[in-house]
Amino acid sequence: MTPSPESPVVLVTCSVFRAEVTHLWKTCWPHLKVPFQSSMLHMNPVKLGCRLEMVVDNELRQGRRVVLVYGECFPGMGELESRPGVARTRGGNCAEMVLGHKEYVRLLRAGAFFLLPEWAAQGDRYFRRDLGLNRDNATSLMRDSHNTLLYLDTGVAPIPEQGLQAVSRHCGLPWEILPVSLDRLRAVIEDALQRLGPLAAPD
Amino acid sequence: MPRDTSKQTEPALTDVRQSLVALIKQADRAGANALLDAWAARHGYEEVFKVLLEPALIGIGESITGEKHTLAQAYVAAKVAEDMLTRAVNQPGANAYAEPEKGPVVLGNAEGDFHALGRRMVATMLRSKGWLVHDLGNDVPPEEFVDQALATGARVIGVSAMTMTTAQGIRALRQELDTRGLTGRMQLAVGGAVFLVMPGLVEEVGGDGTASNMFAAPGLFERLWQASLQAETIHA
Repeated sequence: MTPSPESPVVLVTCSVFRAEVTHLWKTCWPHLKVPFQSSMLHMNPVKLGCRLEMVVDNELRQGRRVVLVYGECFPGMGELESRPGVARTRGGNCAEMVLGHKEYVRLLRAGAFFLLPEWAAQGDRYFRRDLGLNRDNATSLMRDSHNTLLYLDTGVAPIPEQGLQAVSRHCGLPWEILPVSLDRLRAVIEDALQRLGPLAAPD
Repeated sequence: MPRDTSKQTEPALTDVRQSLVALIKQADRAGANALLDAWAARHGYEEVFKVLLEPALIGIGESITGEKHTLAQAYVAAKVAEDMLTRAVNQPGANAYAEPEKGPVVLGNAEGDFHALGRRMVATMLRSKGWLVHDLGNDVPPEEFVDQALATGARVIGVSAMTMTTAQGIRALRQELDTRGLTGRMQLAVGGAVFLVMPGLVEEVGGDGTASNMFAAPGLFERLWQASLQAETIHA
């Protein structure tokens, strides 16, 4: 079944935004389905690509249109988002989607390494287990390009202080909290919805 | 006549190479450095590069694709090479091997690209093979690439891009080279994850070549340097 301009829309969303998109969904798009995909798929971009292609194929087959709440997270994303009935949120990655391009680049140039709640909560597990970087190698690698761990506090999830301390110890970088609003994330999702066309009336 | 015990206790070269590869694959930078320092104490840092490090890096480059902790292994391989370069340069009476003998070349991340890790590792691999590298850093505009290449006398520009969007931006650099009449004489090496999985992207953005990983980068730059020389001969 090919989706039409009036077909229902689903927000296929990276779980890194679970708390934020769940919060926005309640007030902005309660009639839309929001399937979350594990952010850990980013560890293997090929797997991430296969998973998203499968999910999108499945939604389109069932006559639904898709907004991908994702950055440019795997090389085939451009091809996937160019399919009829599919749109992706603008922005290269999750931090850029929350901060906006200008602020993202400014902070990046100043040496920030961005953390959102889900990944910060994992502490050093991501570096140790998933990347295979012990403390010495993680410290060296991170200090090559960054001087601060910047936690983006969107205000809808508790600040994972223990996790942040663990990342900080493992990577040898201090951490800071930057309060951010959800306005930009909401705006990029609204923009993607608009590019898809009119939304079907809620049931 | 006293016996030379140092000869007796020295392990076989193949065993040392295998140990080095194993240490790098375990991402054990300190262990790999200790092993190489011990070898250098007997044979000098020039031998470390020629006899141990280069063969090990080539072997690792061919074998780690698809392994679980590729990033950690590749990072440690590059850092060990960087550590050895630093030691070689800082040795009293450092020999010619520590001095760049090829190049210069210019490296940088494409405009809008801030993924420095790959570029830095490629720079280290090139330096370990004797290239003089001018690293322009992240987010480099096309004009700056060409200006710096002309200013330094580089025949190869290496551009790194992680995503499709920043890779597509390399077209502007291709155009800049063509507009200034540098086609062929100044070669364009492109690299980054996106080029490995998108067939035809190198040609699409106007690149002259790419390498499958950082270990293969010196070979690519060698080929492109020769291509530049040939292009100049043809147009002379």
